[in-house]
Amino acid sequence: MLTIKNLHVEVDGKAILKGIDLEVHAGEVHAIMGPNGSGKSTLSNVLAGRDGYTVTQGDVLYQGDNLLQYEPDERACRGVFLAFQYPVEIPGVNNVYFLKAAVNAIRQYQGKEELDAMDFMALMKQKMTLVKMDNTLLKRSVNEGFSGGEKKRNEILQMAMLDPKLAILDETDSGLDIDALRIVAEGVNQLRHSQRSIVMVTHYQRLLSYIVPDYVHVLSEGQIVKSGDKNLALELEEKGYGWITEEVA
Amino acid sequence: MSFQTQFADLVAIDDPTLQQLRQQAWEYFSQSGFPKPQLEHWKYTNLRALEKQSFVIAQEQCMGLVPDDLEPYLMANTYTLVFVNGQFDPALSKLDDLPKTATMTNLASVIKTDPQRLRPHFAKYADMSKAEYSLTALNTAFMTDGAYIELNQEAKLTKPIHLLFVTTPQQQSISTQPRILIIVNPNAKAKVIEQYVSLGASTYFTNVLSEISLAANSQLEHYKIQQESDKAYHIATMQVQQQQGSRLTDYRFAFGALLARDTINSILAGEYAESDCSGLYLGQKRQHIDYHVCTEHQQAHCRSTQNYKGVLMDRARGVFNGRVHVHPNAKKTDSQQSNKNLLLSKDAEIDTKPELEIYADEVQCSHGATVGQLDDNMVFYLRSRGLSQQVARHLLTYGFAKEIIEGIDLEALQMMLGKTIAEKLPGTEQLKEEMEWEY
Repeated sequence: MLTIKNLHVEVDGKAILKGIDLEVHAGEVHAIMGPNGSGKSTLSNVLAGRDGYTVTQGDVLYQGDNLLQYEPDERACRGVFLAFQYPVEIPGVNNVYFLKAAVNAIRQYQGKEELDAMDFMALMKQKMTLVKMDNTLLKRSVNEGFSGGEKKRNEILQMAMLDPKLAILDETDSGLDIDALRIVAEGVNQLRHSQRSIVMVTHYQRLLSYIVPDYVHVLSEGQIVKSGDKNLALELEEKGYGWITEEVA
Repeated sequence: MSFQTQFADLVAIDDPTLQQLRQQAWEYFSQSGFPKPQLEHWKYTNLRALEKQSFVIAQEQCMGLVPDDLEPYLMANTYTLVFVNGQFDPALSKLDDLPKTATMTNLASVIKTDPQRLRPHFAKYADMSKAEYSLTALNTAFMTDGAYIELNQEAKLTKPIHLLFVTTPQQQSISTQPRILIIVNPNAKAKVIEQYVSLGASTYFTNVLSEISLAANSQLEHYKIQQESDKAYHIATMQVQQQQGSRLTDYRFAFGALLARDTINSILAGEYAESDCSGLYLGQKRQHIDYHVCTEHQQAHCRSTQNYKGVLMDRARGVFNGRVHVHPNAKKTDSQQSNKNLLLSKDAEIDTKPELEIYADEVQCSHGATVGQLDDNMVFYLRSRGLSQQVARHLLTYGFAKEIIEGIDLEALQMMLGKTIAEKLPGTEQLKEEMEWEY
């Protein structure tokens, strides 16, 4: 599904990622953990195609194809989804219309027939129950005035609607209380399946108790310094990040 | 034909007071002429092109219009007064079931049959003696028709009043000088929609003056929608006098005209008066749109907001001058001002000038102006969901503009405005579909 080879990325001339290697197969859930400033968000943003990140070396292959050649919207149309750490508020743009336009842009790109209003609403109603989303949120502008929890639920609702092959969840647990975290995690768990890969970027182990990963990688100073299974996350929770950086040094 | 010749040819008004007022107005106008850019108020709006042309004051009504011609503009559930080329057209108007508690008629008939009724408020508020207000003098000199609206004490109208000003193509370029007087007596409440449309693409000059008197604890929701032809000149001046506890809500939209200038002067002359003014200007091609908004806090405990947005495309130019003047008496004033602009082309231009003058203590005032392009984070967010850069930009532009209409509680009007905004912006088809979800 996703192969990252020796990826080096600079932001404003400063090297942030210094040779990342990662292999994610279909159906796998990978967690990327690391202290602040280790390059976690840079990795998410580079995969989604945000401006301002310069790849100086290395490759990113998605379904065997060079992902970096595509514009952000084309990546989305090819099945890459980024759940934002800070979902953007967009005043004046209706949430439902936005989703319908997005779903149909992607369907059109993939050569599928566009959904009409009725089919779309039926799908929407079904997916909304996944994240216990309230009807009233649909009438509002995208993320505008949403609470932290509502914004993150809206991200997962979008993921459910857009049906990506590769989902990158950037700090999805940040700013969530325990109830909201549970709802979001349950939503993600229901979206796990054998043809979809999920990369979760997170600072804390907390999220991983709810969404149990197949693999855990530790990112430090722009490199993956340790990989393991879910137990690695528990170890990190107990000992902090210090011991790994020391071990590597 | 010059205005001077045309003034000399005017038929005198029977009422000596009004005739004298008109004569006085003409003297002011002939002394000052059109406002010049040397005047601070007109620094960014040059009327030379307007002044160079010759306009014939529309005298005769355009006959033969039928309601179908106006169909796109008529609104259901309103009292409607239609003015064609500046003159009231009773046949096209819709004034059935008029409530006894209100008067809605045309100014010409009041001038003719009951000029005494005009004494308390008519021409009492708008200044015409200064050079920057010479177009108010021009309007007064040529006053013939317009709207007279008065709500009796305690009157509460359920339906809005729609004033529709239509200009039709004529052989010569015409000028209309409509005049509106709205009097809302104590505790009364009204909604007025003022709309300017054109049935052709001709050059003409509209110079409207509105005077509004809001008595104690009265309320007025006022909407002004300017959709003149794209060769037209549109000058509008609104003077509002507010007494204690009264409330004005003003929304205005500039969609049309080659050159448009709105001047709003709002005097908060009684304590606890409130004034909320907002507006949107959408400029494209070579349009020039100027909003000058001034709120005078003369008394304590008043609250005001000015909230204006502009989207400028192509070579369009916008001007915003918002002034809030807090007089020494006006303690506990609460005033907020905001002007946000989106420039969608490198040749578009905005001159924004927020002004705050405070001479009182214990006031809360804020102001801010922004000029910019679309927010990169928003564009990226939409693109990351599969929308093309172009669609993302269209949606964001529409969202920016549409925010102004979100507080409007007349649903039909809100829909009409949403549609009109969508039609003016790039990506119309997409946006129309968006609207269907909205309403």
